This record gives sequence, C-alpha cells and structure tokens, in this order.
Amino acid sequence: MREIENRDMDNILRQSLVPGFEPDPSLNQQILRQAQGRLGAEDLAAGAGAVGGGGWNHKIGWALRAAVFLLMLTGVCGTVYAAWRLYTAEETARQMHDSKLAGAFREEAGWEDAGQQADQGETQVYGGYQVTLLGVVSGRDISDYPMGSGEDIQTDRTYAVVAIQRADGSPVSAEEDSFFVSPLIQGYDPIFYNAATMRGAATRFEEEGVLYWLVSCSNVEYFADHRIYLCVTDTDFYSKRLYTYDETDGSISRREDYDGLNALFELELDASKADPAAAQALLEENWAFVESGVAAEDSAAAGNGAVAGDGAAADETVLEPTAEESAGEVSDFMAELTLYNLEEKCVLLEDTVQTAMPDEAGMVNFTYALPGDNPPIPAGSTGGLVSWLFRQPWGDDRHTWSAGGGKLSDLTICIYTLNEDGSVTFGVYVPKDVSRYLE
Amino acid sequence: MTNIELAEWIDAYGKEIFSFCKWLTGCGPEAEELYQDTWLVVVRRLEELDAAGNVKSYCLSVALRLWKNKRRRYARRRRIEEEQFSGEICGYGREWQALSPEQRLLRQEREQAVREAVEELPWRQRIIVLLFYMEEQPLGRIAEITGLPLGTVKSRLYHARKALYQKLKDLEENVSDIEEERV
Repeated sequence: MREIENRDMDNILRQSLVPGFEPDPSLNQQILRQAQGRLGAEDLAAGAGAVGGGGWNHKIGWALRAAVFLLMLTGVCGTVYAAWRLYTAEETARQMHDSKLAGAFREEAGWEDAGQQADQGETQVYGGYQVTLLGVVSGRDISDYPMGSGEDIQTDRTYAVVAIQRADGSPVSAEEDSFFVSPLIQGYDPIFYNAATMRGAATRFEEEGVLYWLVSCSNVEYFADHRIYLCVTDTDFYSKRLYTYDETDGSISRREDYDGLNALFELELDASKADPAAAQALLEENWAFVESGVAAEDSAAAGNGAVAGDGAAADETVLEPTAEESAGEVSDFMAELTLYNLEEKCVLLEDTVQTAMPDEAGMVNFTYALPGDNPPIPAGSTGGLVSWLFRQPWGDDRHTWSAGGGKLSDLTICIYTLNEDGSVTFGVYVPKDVSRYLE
Repeated sequence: MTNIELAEWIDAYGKEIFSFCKWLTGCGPEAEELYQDTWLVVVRRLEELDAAGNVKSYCLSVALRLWKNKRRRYARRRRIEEEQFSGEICGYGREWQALSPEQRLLRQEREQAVREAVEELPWRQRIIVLLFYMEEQPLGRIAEITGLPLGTVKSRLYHARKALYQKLKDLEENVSDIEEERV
C-alpha cells in the first residue's frame, strides 16, 4: 500500500469531477427561443436599458384632493402572453427608472438573492388571477421619486411590488382588469387605514401580459409589532365585501365568499423596527393630510350618532351612520363604479363642466363651485400636469379621475377627459339620488 | 449582443455550466431548470457582465445564486430522485476508451466513490471543490463567484480536501492494491 499524496488527491478529484454532463440540444434551443422572444429577434440587448420594452407609467401620488377616498380605474394594454420568468422587485424598480429603489430591493434581498427569480416569492391565485409578491422594502430616502412636494414631501416609505397575471395565461386586459394594492395593518381597520389614507402612490407597467405593480405608502415598518398584510384586489378600492376585519384581535382575513381577486399576503417585517411613537405620529400626520377637506362638524355628528327626528317613538329613532358605516358606503360604491357605468350611477353637475388648454408648463387648472348652502361649499380647485394626469394607474390614456367625500351624500367624482386637440374637459359627478348637491 | 453570440456562449460553456447545475441540484429536471434560468438571467443582466468579463465565471456565479435561492426546494426533490442521480455516469473521453474493462471498472468505482464523497461534503465546501476541480476556476475567481473573501475560499478548500482525503484514503489504497496485484 502507498500513501496518497496531495498531488494524487488533486488528480483523482480532477479526473472524477469532469464536467461530463451535456445539456440536451432541445434545451439549448428553448433557451435561445425564449431569449429571442423576450429581447428581440436579432439584437438581444446591449444592456438593461434595452431589455425593457413594455410601456410604463411614471410614479404618481394618489389625488387625495381633500378627501379620504379615491377611485381607481386601472387599465393596461395586454400584448402576447409568454411563459417567462417574472422580473424581480429590483428589476421592476429598474424598469421604472428608479435606480435608488432598485438598489434598496437588491440590498434587502441580499447578495444571495441578487439573481432571484420571482417564483421565490409567494404566489396566490384567486378570482382567475395569479398574484406574486416580488418584494417589500422600507426606509428613508430609498427612492429617486419621493412622495409629495415642497414642505409636504415624504421620504420615509414602504414599497411593495407584485406581479399580476391571469391564471389562464391570457394577458391582463385594459378593458376588463382593475386592481387595488395596499398594505394593511393588524389592529387598524382597513376601511380607514389603507394606501389611500397613508399617502399611497402606485406605479405600474405591463409586459408580456404581466402587470407589475409598485405600491408605496408611509413607512409601515413602524407598525412591525403588528401583523402587516398586503391586499391585492380586482376592485378599484378597498371594500368590506372582500376582507373581514376582526375587531377583537385586529386581524384581517380574506372573505371566502368573494369570488374575485382578494389576495392577502402577510409581510415579514423586522419586528425590531417597530416604533409605536413614530407609528402614532405617522397616523396623525396622514390623517391631517387626508382630512383637510372633510367638514369637521360632519364627522363629529356622524361619530356621535346624532339623533334625527322629533324625539317620537324609540323605534322610529334614526341614527345617522357612524363614520365607519359611511366609509363603507363610499368604498362599496366606489368599488362598483367604472367609467362604463358612471352615467348610470351618477349625475353630472353641469355647472362644473369646463374645458381648458394646458399652459406653457403643460398644466391645466380648474376652479369650480358645488351647489348647496348648508354648510356653504367653498369653491374647489384641481388640475395638474396633463402628462401626469393621464398616466395614472387608474383611468386610461384619455380619462382619469379622483374622488372625495367622507359620506356617500358628500361624494364628488372629478372626471378629466383628454380631447383630441390636447385640451382637457373637467366635470364633477355625484351619486344619483343620495347626493346633497342634487337637493 | 445577438442571439448568435448567445448561441456561441451556450456552445462554448453550456456543458460546464450544465455540469455545475447538475452537481448543485443532484437530479435531472431541476438541473435543467437551473441551467435554463441561469442563461435567461445572464441575458437579462448583461449590464453586470462588462466587456472584459469572464462569461463562464459569471454564468457560474448566476447559477450559484439561483441555486442558493432554491436549494431547499431542490433538496426535497433530490431525496426522492437520489437513486436516479447516483446511477448516472459522466461522459468520458478518449482516455476512457483506451482503458481495459477492469481499469474502467476500477475507475468507475473510484469516480463513484469520489462523487459520493463530494456529495457528502457540507454544501459550502462542495461548491468550492466543484468550482476548483471541475470548473477549474482559480481561487481568486472563486472568491468573486461566491462573494467570499479569498481566505475563506482557501480555508474551505483546505478543509474539504482534508475531509475527502479521509473518506477516499481507504478506497484509493484498495485500488492501488488491485493495480499492484495486476502488475
């Protein structure tokens, strides 16, 4: 017998560990086909900048003009579905030209996940949609596009990315699909606390029939000592028809009796980041922001359950709805509303209709007054960059809207229509029969 | 980059990348998936591969990252398909053809034993061994591929070799005895 020397050992290992496995030629062909299909026939790509392809929309802030509620109609243009790996959260951010956020997602994933594929994330299938949570990251100044402007800027935020596909492989359709994506917090009724009330913003782009949706809102990591969820729905707004909020323990769960999309992910946040004081301050700041347009006396009256009528029989006593009930009314109404049934469910306030050409900066502004004198309704003012208005994840290329009102009777829906000549027509709709502005 | 260039890359490095995937996953279907994913990620992340970059080592690093992400899933499947993997035989070249039937048997047994010994290494050491011996990557490049400090790479390789030596010593002595008897 002889001793094995180091050199022998090296030789044995080299001889035994030869790269002797050949990939099947058909597998290589499949890779080439997929690469070609994704990146173009001849020129695959010179770099990441050429890899994109799908149209994308700029980051937008929810138009919480003076209200708690917002209407979203989401439209995307489906192309050809292809069975392809999804973008990662980092790649999604990069496609949205947000390199700082891409870096944050990359750092959050860690080196080992730098090349991760989306199938690593949790996927849920409901209502014919397949939703994959691609990533979540929170922090201060981690995006190239901070929320707000001037003194109202907010840089400490949470960002979440989901990919939405149709379960049958058909493309996500602009005509048929609308979505609402929002973090939710255990112990905080989602009717009141969702992305729309937490200074939410959304950006999306569609590629190969897959909708990539980036939602951001105030940093929910401060609530990390609670369970944090992410809801994804096929409605325009949060609705109690889709989820159950358990007031005893504050938990939120899907309603199984809803046959559409009501996915609910539980986010894994670092519990050590919880900061109750910062969380409370955040809530107060956000509510101050969204409540700026809600009449304080209305809220107080609703919250106190003011008694109407003349004090006759108890069974005839009518309590005004609580703030929560009112909120539920509004959100349910909004969830059902689309551009296509707008005329059916609402009435246009003719006096608010006006058309304007954008100014040199590309801005349009509309000032309007609402009817009624109890209490007197101040004139409203709204508008914005045309290029911004019509690239929001709700509406379509020619229509967009925002809505506000703490109660159904107060609800106003501002509709903006981009005309062929570049002008914008504005008008305010209100719900039929119940609106105070129709009295 | 054109699809022709991609085809050239696949032609040049496909076998080595696929073998690495095969070793990482230990079973057929997952290896193919990993191999496919590796190339598709490489195509999508071309910006990370600068003009002077080493395509093979970049592909290996991508495969490694993907595998790390999915290795728990692969490991579950692997237990089921372990037998199938152990029955596979690597491709052999001219040297193999020149061996006598007995020598082939001896070599085959030895290689099987080496593969099993390598398989039994902790995965952190196994990766270093595969990159060093099978993929013939220099230590500095392995450090880049794995994202580890060079000292860590050396240390893992040292401990892996030591463990392999202990496992293979007896077998190699037996093989040597047989070869000496034949002489």
